[in-house]
Amino acid sequence: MRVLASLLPPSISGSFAWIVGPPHPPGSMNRFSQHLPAAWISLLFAGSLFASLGEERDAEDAGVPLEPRAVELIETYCMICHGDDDPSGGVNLDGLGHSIENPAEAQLWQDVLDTLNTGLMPPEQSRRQPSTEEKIELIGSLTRTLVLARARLADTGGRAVARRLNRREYKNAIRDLLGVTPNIERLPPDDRVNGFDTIGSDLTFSSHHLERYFEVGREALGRVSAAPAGERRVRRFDTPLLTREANDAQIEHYQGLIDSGQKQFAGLSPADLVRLPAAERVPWEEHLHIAQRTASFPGFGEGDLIFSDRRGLTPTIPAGPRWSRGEYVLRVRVANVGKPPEGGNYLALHRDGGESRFVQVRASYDAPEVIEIPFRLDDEQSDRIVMRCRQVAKKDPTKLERQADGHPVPDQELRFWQSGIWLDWYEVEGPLRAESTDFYAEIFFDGLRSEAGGQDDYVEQIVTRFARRALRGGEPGEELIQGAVELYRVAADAGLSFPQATREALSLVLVSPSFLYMIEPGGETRAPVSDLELANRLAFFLWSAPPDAALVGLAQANRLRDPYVLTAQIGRMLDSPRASAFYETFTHQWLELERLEGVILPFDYDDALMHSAAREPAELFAHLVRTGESLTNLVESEFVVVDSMLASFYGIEGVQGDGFRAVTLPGDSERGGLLSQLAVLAMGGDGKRTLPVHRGAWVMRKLLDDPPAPPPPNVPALHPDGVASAREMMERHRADPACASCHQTMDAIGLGMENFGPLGRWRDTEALTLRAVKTPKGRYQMYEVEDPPEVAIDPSGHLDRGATPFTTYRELRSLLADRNDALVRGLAKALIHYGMGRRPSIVDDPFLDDLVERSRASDHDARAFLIEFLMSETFRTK
Amino acid sequence: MMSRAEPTPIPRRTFLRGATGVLALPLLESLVGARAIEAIRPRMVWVGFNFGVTRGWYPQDKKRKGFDPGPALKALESHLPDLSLVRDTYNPRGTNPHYGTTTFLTCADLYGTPGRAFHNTVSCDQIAAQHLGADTRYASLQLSSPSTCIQGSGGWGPGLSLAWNERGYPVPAITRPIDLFQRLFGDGKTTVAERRFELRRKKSMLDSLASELRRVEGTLTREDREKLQQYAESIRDIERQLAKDVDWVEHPFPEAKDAAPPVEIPSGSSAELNAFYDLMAIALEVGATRVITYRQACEGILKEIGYPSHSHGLNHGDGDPNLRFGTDRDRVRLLAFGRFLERLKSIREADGQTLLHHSVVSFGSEISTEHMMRDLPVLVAGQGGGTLRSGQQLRFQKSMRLSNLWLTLLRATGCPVDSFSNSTRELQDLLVRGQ
Repeated sequence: MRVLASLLPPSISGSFAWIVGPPHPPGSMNRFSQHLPAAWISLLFAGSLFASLGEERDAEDAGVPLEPRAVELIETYCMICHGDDDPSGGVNLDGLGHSIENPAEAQLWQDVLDTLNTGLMPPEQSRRQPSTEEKIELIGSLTRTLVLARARLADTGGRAVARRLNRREYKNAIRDLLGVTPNIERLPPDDRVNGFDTIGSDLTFSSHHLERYFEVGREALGRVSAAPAGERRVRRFDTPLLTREANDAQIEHYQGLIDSGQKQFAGLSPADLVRLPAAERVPWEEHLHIAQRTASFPGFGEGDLIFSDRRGLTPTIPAGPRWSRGEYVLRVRVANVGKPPEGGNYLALHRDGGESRFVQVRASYDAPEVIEIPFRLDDEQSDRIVMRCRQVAKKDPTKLERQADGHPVPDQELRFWQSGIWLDWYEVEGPLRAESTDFYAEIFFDGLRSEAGGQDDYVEQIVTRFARRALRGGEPGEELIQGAVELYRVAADAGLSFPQATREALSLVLVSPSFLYMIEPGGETRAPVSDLELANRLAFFLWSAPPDAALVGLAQANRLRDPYVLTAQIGRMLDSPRASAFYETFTHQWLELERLEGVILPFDYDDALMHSAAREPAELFAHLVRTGESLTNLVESEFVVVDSMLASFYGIEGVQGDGFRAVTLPGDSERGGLLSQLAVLAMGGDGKRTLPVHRGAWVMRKLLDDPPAPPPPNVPALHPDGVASAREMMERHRADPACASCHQTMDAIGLGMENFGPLGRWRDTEALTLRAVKTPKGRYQMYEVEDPPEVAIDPSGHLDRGATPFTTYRELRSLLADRNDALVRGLAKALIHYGMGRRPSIVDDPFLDDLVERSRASDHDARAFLIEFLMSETFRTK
Repeated sequence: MMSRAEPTPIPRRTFLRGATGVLALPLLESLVGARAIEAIRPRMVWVGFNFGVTRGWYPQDKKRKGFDPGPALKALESHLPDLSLVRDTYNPRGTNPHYGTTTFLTCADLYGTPGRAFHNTVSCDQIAAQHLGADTRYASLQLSSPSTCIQGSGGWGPGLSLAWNERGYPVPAITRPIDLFQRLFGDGKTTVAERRFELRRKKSMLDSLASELRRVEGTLTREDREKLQQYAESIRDIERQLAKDVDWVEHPFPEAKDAAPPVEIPSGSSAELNAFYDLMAIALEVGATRVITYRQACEGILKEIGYPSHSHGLNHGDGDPNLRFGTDRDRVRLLAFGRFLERLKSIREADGQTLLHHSVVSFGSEISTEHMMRDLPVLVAGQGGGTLRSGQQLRFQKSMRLSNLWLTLLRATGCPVDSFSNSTRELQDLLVRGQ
């Protein structure tokens, strides 16, 4: 209560009830109050979240005791030799104590664990041997204790380290400031910790970074130019004509290649082709087929014919330097030609370095349709948009139909050009609204000068104004201004023009510590953040960008700490289009979706679906926050948030046009929740086979707040004997104590998800594609099986070390859905990582307990949960 | 020769004290005679790679000489007389079986510092650079394949290269052969006058940033100032290099005999390996530096040999049906390495010996196979100017600390250190007797 009172202006601290009462500022408060239950609001200000700062537990004296059962087992089996009396090998476990209090002790117990894991101890000749079950218990217990101890020893007591802007944040900061997108590919990649690119203590900075940030900032400054007029207009592009002559010439060309030196590869199947060195892997026969096929379609010679991925002219919107920022709409007149695959043909828009969009084409050539797709251009730079035809794979390529000679059946082989899209014309209209920020005029506020010499005063003013905008509400120091002017002089002396030399000066601001770092000056103890620091924290959290003028203004007037203002601002920020940075990036990093890139898709799999799949988790999360639905939908849900392509894949009817939306599932659907999302399932496999261990470990990390320990070193991999199912392979873990201690839960969950194939399709049987054969040396060599047998999948298993059984995937999902507290707690920890730039600390425990309890009281309302997090004392303490 | 790892690590502080003492020394001229200055100074190269090797990499017999190299090492057969296969090494504190290079050259305990979830220490190449790099254009060069960054840290573990500086921060690397080419030969366009302007501009920028940093630090508490340490350090690093650049600005870059490498090369492909190796040989030959590290990926090689997945899978269960791919990958990697040794052997130094004779070229990973981190795959080629024995398989009855190997190499090349990381002693069998 003490802290709460100090945070609230005197006029407010007496009455909280009116917060839901008075007229709302337009647009923002409405949504917030709708979705934040009144009970929450009263709780919010009842003060327990603002618990006294003095109650913090001291992280320093946090020794982690061994679990009693572990002590008991060690006493029984190890002390015979490793006790006080002449300990064997000089290892005296008695002297160690039963609690881990410093790195050296952690290291010694790590050695004990390693010895157990590798089976060196207890030695075979020892009289007393623990049972397998006891070994599992001891290894599991020591592993857990060590994970906990490592975390405690690394604890920083909730203090975050001042961190530099990462690549994403830098990009947005520069874009807000200059109106151009910097080339962040030139910056060194950011270090990731548990998947997050925001952890201050681990975002390294080196001379290399400094040089690259300087170079990239200077290059971006060089591209700032006077803004184009930005008048709304329509630009029509007739598609390039693929003439009969040109097509015939191509046919001849491919035929020639096949007849000559390239012939040796002409007869190979795609599967064989993929094994060839890249330079030689040109499937000329495919090109020939397409070219021949093209000429037979209606519309040939009148517009473009585009095909899935393999070929087709790819019409491009040539965004040039004269395109101004803003919203645009693209219209394309299209029709299907040939017989589209079961899943449909999709018009795809691929943007360089940006998102891809897919709209299903439904029209036939007799009655073409015009498809409209809105998009946004963010700077004057060329932002190429390429149009393609994409398709949803009919079946997973693991079940590719093959002929007797092993080649794919012709129909399958020709799939890509059975059908395509005929494209008549396309046009772009925009910008729909004028966005007239003229960044050039903003910098050279008093025009240019023809001479570079003698302009020091003007340049000083330019730098000062620029630095004020760049430093996010901070005041630039005299050293920075003078340094910049000095750089200007050096450049002017060397003969650079006025604007060039001025840019040299400004580039210094963009590598100054106050720009590149988020610095929150503080004392020896934790303290509340200032209003300006809060504005910055919120903006980088929700937008991955600097605060806008409204936030900075409120902060500078010291009004942001006002709970009424703060909730309104958080609501506004959550609903802003800029919040997509949070929904997309946080979800991507929290759920480790980068693993999706590691899945090797089969040669003939159209990866268009994976583009949509990669966006689905973020779209679901954003939907929950925007509408205030329960976070439990992340595990078990009656609806999915999908676009037309995913809907087609999941077997949901009636989803048309561009964009993601919530769709109620048919009653018998296995989908709903993260577990059954294509992205999550696909990254729990390698493209060919499922990886139950990866899936199970992922669920423990993300949904159960129970991350398994990293794999121990020096434990050899297991090899099954003969042809084995996933279940049989996993069962070998159970026999080995070093494996069983961690694998029992992981494997059970992973096997419970086996009904989903490696690329996310539901299946009832599994093809056994690997056979292990014992070599004379006693090792196992695995071979691919030619004609793999199919066996029924048994998803049953146990959670809680055998205590909680389940028999089907649905039962498993229900069990996981019952553990909402763990889900919410894990999510809150991820938010601390992502949004506060540090690892969760032991001092956060009371906050987390409290947050989970409140979340439960609101049925885990996603929006209320986020607001609660952002309003909390923890978020507002540095 | 038997060896026994001692359980007590040397405290880090002891080592730092030693290193600082050395740093404080004036330049070597006053201490060493004219003969020593004329003597050819040794070069040191370290190559480290991700995800270890495939089983079958090691010789099947324990013979010290004339061992059967097995399918992978056969790729180096003609070079066996010039290298030692150092067996049975390990890092006592290497516990993450997905970190192939993070502590390969540091031998640090990453988790040994309270309040830090991760803390590395100085790598041996950076110590070598302090002693061998004072009078070269670059004190050391760090090279790395571009990060493929899939599945966590790509089998390397954290880091930007194999090198870590005295504070335990990662040292950044050159990731494209073309960039290394320009470091060695200039970009061919910039004139001396332009370079002078560039240096002046840089100097002015650094001065400004340094004074701005002082201002910012003035507003912070001591604890917060530590937060900006890396930024301050980066300014100092550039200043150091700048001082060298100023010294060297009048010296023209050597003329390139070969064409510049292509700009885009697939990460971890044999094209990248060969391009970097060629330029490394040149860098050592023309004296641009005496210390180079190179952190390799292998994704490009996997594509070349037609392996349709990632190296992570290849090193785990998936390695079994695909054992031949793993062996092929190792062979390609070793063939490229052999080509590099060949090149070093073809270059003659003033005393008539080869460049390889005057070099110490180490090659290895902190992962052996799968999740195993013992008996690391480590090769040491070259004779270190006549101090190192080669042509042998070196085995130890008990696991040998890797830090002892690095200590041995540092001392053999004249670096005045008494210990390195948790080292306990030198490997006498690697040294020519009487050294």
